[in-house]
Parts: sequence; C-alpha cells; structure tokens
Amino acid sequence: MLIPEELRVKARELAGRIPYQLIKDSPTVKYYTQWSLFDNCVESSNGNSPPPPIELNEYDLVVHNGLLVKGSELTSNDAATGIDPSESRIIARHFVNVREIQSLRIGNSSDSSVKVMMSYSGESNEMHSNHVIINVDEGALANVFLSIIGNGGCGTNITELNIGDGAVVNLLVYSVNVDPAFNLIRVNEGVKAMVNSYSIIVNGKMTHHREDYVLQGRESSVNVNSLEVGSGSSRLDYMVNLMHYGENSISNSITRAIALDSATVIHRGFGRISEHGKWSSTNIEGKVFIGSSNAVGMSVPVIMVDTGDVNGARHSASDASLDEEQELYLRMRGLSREEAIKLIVYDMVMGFLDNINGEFTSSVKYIRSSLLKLLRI
Amino acid sequence: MKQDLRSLVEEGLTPEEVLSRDAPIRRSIEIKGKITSEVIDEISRAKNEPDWMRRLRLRNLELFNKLPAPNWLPNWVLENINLEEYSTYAKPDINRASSWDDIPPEVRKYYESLNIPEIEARALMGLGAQLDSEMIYFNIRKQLEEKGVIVMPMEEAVQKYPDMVKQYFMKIFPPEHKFAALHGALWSGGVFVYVPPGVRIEAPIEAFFLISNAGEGQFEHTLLIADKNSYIHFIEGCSAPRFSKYSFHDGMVELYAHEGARIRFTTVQNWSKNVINFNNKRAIAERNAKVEWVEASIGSMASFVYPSTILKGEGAGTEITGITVANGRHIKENGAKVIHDAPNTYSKIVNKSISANGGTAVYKGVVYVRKGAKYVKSHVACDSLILDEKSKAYTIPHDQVFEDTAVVTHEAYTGRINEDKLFYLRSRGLSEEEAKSLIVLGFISDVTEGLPFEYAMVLNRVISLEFSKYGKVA
Repeated sequence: MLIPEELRVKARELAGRIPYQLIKDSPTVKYYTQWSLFDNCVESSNGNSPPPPIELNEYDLVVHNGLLVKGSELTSNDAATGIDPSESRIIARHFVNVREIQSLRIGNSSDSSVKVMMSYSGESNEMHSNHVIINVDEGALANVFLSIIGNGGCGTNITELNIGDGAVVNLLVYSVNVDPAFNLIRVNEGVKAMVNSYSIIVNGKMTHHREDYVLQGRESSVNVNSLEVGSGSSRLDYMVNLMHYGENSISNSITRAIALDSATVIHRGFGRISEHGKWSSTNIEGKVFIGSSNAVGMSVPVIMVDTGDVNGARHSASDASLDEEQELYLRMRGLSREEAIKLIVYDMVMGFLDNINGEFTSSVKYIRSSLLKLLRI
Repeated sequence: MKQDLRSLVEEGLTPEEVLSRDAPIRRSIEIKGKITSEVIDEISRAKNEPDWMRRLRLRNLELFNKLPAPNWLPNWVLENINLEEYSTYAKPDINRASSWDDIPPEVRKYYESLNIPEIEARALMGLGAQLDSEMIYFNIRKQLEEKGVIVMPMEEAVQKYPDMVKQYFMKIFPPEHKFAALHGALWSGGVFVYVPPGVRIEAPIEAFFLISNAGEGQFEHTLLIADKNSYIHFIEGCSAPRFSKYSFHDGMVELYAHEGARIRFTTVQNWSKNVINFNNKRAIAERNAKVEWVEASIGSMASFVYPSTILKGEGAGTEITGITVANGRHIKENGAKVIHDAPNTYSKIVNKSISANGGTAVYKGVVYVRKGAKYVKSHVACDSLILDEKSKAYTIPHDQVFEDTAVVTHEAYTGRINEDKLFYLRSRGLSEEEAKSLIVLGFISDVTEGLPFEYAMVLNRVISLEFSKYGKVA
C-alpha cells in the first residue's frame, strides 16, 4: 500500500520543524538517544539494493529497504496506520522516507504462525524505512516472529500490531543493528487480548528500540521478556511502555541487559495506569549487567498512576557487575574475571533463549547461532 | 478592613474564602514591579552590602533574563508565577530582637500559634525567625559562641566574614536554571553557620520562615559549613497563613561538609495552599563526610524540591529522606539527586508520598556514578499511597552508572489503602478521616522515627490535621 500523499506532505512539513523530543531526559544525561546521529542520515532516493544474505524461504514476508521482496500474496491494501507523524521528528522523517506500508491479517485459521523480516542495507548515512501492519482477528491465536536486521545504513522500522478481542499473540522480536536505527513496535490490545512477548535487541551505533503496549481493552494483558545486548561501542536505548486504558488490565515487563566492551546500554520501563484503567496492575523489572570497565549501564523505571483505584504498580531496577564475592568464588575455581564474565553472559543469554515459548523453536535456533557469533562466545 | 463573619457567610463564600485573610505587617521598605538592575541596586543599598555582592546579584539577574523558563514545569504553574506582581523585597518595620518580649504582639502571635518560642526554650541551641525578607528574631545560646561556632543572619556574615562567604556562596549551587539565577539576584535573609573542627552541636539550630502577606516573594539563603569532624543538625521550618493571592518562595540551601563532618538538615514545609515553592538545595561532602537530608513537604500549592548531594571525597555518604503529602488539587515534586564522584561512596534515598483529593505527588530522582568512582553502593526506595480515585502518583528515577564496580538498585511501589485495614479501624469506632490519617501515619512511621522527638510530634500532628475535616481549611 502506498503512503497517502497528504500524509507524506504533512510529515515533510513536520520533519523540518518539530524536535526529536520535547523535554531533556535528565539533568545529568541530557538525551539517552543521541538524536544528532540521525541528523547525519539522508533520506534514500533509491531502494534497489539486494536483500540480506538470508534464506528467504524461512520467512513469510520480507521487506527490504522499504520494498516488498516476498509475501505479496499475504498483504492487503485495507489497513491504515495509527501512528501520527507529529509524535516526533524521527517518526515524521520515517513517513517522508517510507515507500510502502505492508499490511497483513491473521485470521482464526489453524496455521497462524507468521515470520516477518524487515531489513535494510546501504551506505552508512543512507536512511531506509520499513513499515508493516499486522491485524489479528478476534479470538485468533497467532505466533509472530519479527526479525529486524540492519546491515549498514540508517533504519527506521515501524511495526503496528492490532490485536482483536480475545486474541492471543506470542511475539518474538529479534533486532540486530549496525548504524543508527529507530525501531518502533506498537501493539494495541482489545478486550481480553493477551500478548506474550520476547524481545532480543543487539548492538547498533545508536539503536533506539521502543515497544508500546497499549492495553485498550478491559482485562487485556501483556507479558514482556526482553534481552538487550550491547558490545563493541554500541549504544542501545531500549524503552518498554505499558499503557493501561482498559479496566482490570495486567502488564509485566522483565528486562535483562548486558553491556560489554565499551557499550552503553539503557533500559527504560514505563508503566502508566490512566484514570480509565481502574483496578489494573503493572510490574517492571530491569537488571543491567555491566560486563567491562568501559561499559555503561543506565536504568529508568517509571511508574505513573492516575487513579487511586489501582491494584498496584511496582518497579525495581539494578545496575551492577560481578560482585566481589562472586568473583572470588569463581577465581578460586581457576577462572579469571574475563572468563567469569563470559560465563555469566553465556548463562544469561542461553537462559533467556531457553525460556522462549516452544512455538518458536526453529527461530530460536537461528537466533542462538547468530547471537553466539555476534558475541564471540 | 475586616468584614465580620456573618456578612462573609451571607455572601456565600466557602470556608476557605472566609478564612483567607490578609493581616498585613507594616513595612519600612517594599520593592515591587519589574526586576531591573536598578531594583537590584536598591536592594543592595538597603542592605549596605559590599560591592562584590552587588555585582554577584547583577550577574545573576543577567543570567535570569537569558535563561529560558524550565519546560519541565506544568504550564499552569508558570502562568501563576507573575514576578512583577510580587513584592521582591519587603522589610518589616520591626527591629531585630533576641527576646520574644521585644517582638510586637501582632507578629509574636504567629510564632506562638506554632509553638516556636516553646520549642526554642526546650529543644534548640539557636533560632532565627524570618518574616518576609528579613530576620526579625535571632537568639543563639552562649555555649555555641564559646565553642567558636558562628551563627548569624546571612547579611551579617556577608559583612563580617566576606572571604568565607565568597568561598562558598552560590559555588555549591551555581545558577544552573532560571529560578536559581533569580534567587541569586534577589536573595534576602537566611542564616550563615560555621562549625569549627571537632565541634559537635548536639541540639539542633533552627531557622523559621514566615510569609505574612499575599503576593510576597521570599528568597532566603542558608549557607552551612561544617569543618573537619564536626556535627550539626539544622532545622528549617516554613509556614504562611492562608491568603487570597499567590505568594512565591524561591529559597536556597548550600551545605559543605568537610572531611569527617556530619550535617543533618531537616525541613518541615507547611506553606499555605497559595504558595508556589521552589527550594534549591545542594550539599558537597568531602572524604568520609556524611550529609543527611530530611524533607517533609506538607503545604503549598505547588512544590519543586530536589535535595542533592555531591559525594566528592572517598568514603563520603548521604541519606535523603522525603515525605510528601499532596492533599487537594496540588502538585508536589519531592525528589533527590546524588552524584557519586569518588570511590567507596554510598547513598540511600527513601521517599514516601501520599496523594488525596485530587493531589499529584511526584518523585524525580537521579543517581549518577561517574567513571572511576569505584565500589559505590546506592539504593533508592519509593513508595506512594493514593487515597482516592482522583489522585495521582508518579515515580521517575534515573540510575546512570559509568563504573562497573558500582552496585545501584532501586525499588518502588504505588498502591491504595488496603480496604481491610480501613474496615478494621472503622469497625473500632474511628471515622473514615481518622482511619485514613492513622494509616497514613503508619505508612510514614519508619521515616519519622529518625526525627527529633518534638518534630516528629509536630509532623505527625500536621499530617493528622491535614487528613481530618480541618484539612481543607488548615
């Protein structure tokens, strides 16, 4: 589906005027995302470059540099985006740059697994934009594997997932980046909808990866388990927003983050219970493991509760490395600090992958070998 | 001219409007209107200040004019800070006294209604009472002078100890934002304290700040220096009767704890609901020093206070305890900021907030550990109690760790009063307000335990009243 011209015109006007963000993040670290790196990205004029060297048969839908490479039989033209370009400059720039929006529908049939690849590649300052909308019918059970792979060049990748009443979605997200990348996954849940989400975000010169779970319907729920890994000189800003607008909705987000070499890894969890989300509860946990002396870890667990009719909102966070007792224990067994850290990283990564829903066995196998290669374990 | 109660009631005014009263204190000097360099010169002349202080004020005014308004403040707060309408300097027509008998009765009654003279006699080593822009009462026990402790109004210290004041004044808290710069230009009143090496002041010293008129701006500056291995507990109290127009408070507290020193700074803020309150607070702690902040924020219409400590020396530590009550359609931000700038430093932040009747309580905090600050330990715990469906609570912490040997942890919980607890207390004959008040006191009890007995009693009493039927008009 092509971008409506009026949307592109509006986006172009906004992109030249609105900021990336209205208010600084904190008095000490002004911006968690270095938006200035995106200023160096130039909207691309030619989307024709070869897709990444992946096995296309593994995926049902492949979008590369904004163009549909595989899966045209699955897509339709009937979906409209729910994202407003005025939210931020980066979203406005996305709508200026993106060529097409791909949309597909998952119905109530027996085979409801779909594997989507969004990839981009090019010169380091070329911007490529991908946009996919997935609508899940009421009462459906769907397994969605979303792979976002950047092989050079700036990327903006937006995925909208609209989940009908009573539907259950198991979502696995795997994102690996090189140059600056903006990934937004927005999930809207209907009445009694349920989402079990597993996200793995790896590397990137500046990766801003944001997941919005909007619990519109009453008794909707979401469970998010995330693993964030930064190595080399990567900078990752991972945000999970849990927004309760439906009564009796429940959300739970647990993030494990690993910062190695001289990477900066940021975890931001945001639980908001609006005045309409009465009797809801939210829980955010984050643990950042700082694996080297030059690595940096930051946590921002935010709770905003707009009503006293609430079942509870909790958060907890920690940023730490190997503690002295753990290190002494492992040294006594002949391991150096570096070996001990590798062991811990391996355990955190494998432990996370082992807990992923059984529906994603083949995808997890691919992620496992990809991760071990990237982390040189 | 005061109307009698009957005619006020017949006009159909609410209880708050009936009790809103301006009982103006006569002033010998009052400065109002646009804040210009001429106004600054006039303030400086009225205080007979040395030229370096006048120039410092003017530099801050220049900065105030250049800096943008903070965009993290709610719009309605910014709209109600109309500086040209406030008195930026108001000197009461009262000579400073060191005995309550020398204070005019119409002024003394304010302090007596708050039990200040009695608390001074029983529990304090010294007391300074500020009314509007100047100290009107100052009394320090002789033992302090004998130990070499310097306690005096800030203006006096500028004259008598210029070198010491210059070394620290607005160096601990430079004018980083617009209202800090405004304070630097307009400051008046406040207390200067210097504690010599090894001296321990066991009983607290207090400064009490009162705003007497509507449309008043108060900009007191407190500077406290604790030399090596000394100890001081300083208490700051704030109050204002209920007014019909807004007043604005933009104070500053700077603390410097030298090696091994310990400073405990307690604030019980109970401004009336027409006061917009900023309080810029920062401490620097050197090697093995400790700074403790206790910030109880009960009153005011909108309050923005973030006590901060920079842990500059190895082994330094800080504890920041906050109690916030947002009762009514008010916004109260009570946060904390800790910068770990040296190895083996530690911090503990505990914040408890209660919001009711449409109030919004906000915790905003930062724990920053710079690279090289090895083996830092930090823990933050924030709990929020929301008493009804109209009220809100926000917790916004930032943990920024640039050193891999540090351990920084945070936990928070936001919830409502347990219905079982409320039912239990109601079934034993307590009214709903009494039951809620008891539960709130229990919620903050682990924090008030550490306060001096007299202040824990005062705080508990103030909070009980706040949630009683009198709370609306307190």
